[in-house]
Amino acid sequence: MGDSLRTRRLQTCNLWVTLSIVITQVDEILTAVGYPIRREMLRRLSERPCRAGDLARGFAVSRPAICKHARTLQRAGLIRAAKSGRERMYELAPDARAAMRAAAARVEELSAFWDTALEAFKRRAEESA
Amino acid sequence: MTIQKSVTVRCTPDKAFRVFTREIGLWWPLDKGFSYGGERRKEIFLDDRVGGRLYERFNDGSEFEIGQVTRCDPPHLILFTWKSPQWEAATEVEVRFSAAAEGTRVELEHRGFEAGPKMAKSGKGMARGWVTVLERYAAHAGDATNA
Repeated sequence: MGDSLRTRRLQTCNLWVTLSIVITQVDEILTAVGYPIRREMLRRLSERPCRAGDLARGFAVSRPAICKHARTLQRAGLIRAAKSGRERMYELAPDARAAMRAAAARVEELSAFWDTALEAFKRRAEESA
Repeated sequence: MTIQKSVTVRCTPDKAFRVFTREIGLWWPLDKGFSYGGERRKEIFLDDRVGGRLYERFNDGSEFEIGQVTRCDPPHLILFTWKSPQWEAATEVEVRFSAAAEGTRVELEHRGFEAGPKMAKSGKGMARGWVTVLERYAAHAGDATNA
């Protein structure tokens, strides 16, 4: 295991605090996108805003179920909802793509965390007993 | 989400296991921010037995338990939970030790980030498409430094 740039970057802040907070956010996003129907909903909304009825079209699940999936996506900050007449309109949140990229970055931070720990472990384990 | 890491160390599995567990206080980088105590950081312990604790003792004498050992099979495997105060649920860390040509291969897996109560409620059959993508990504990022 070589030394890594990421390792040095991570040492500049209190890693535990950072990880604890960011992983809560990552969880929400991973939960949101960890289900095929919600990914398909995101894909549709990434093309254009959609009425609740249209968003439910083609899925073999009830409309209330679709609304529930939509709420999960909303909680993760990936989509927004607005009333339009009697129907609800959904659209991709302006920063949805950035949030997903950030989630990927958080995974990389955790990865770098263990790189640093294992590097330290290796150094110690290889010292003569 | 699962983080997988591996490293080969030039020593026997017995020593690798001992250093990772009982001697964790000799190498864990507390001074590099790897402590829940911040400025109060002092010591860290991992008891290598089922029910044993992974915990920190701060310089004011107080302790913080990070997790507990759920499986222990020296010098092959140790499994312990890991919970940050802000997390909804504990995650799990598994460390496996196996003899390799140049010493011991140590494989670490940190998993269970999606196992919060919210996740459990959102139904069985939770597909993991995106999660798998991120896993591969993390594994790839790991390869670059652990080759």
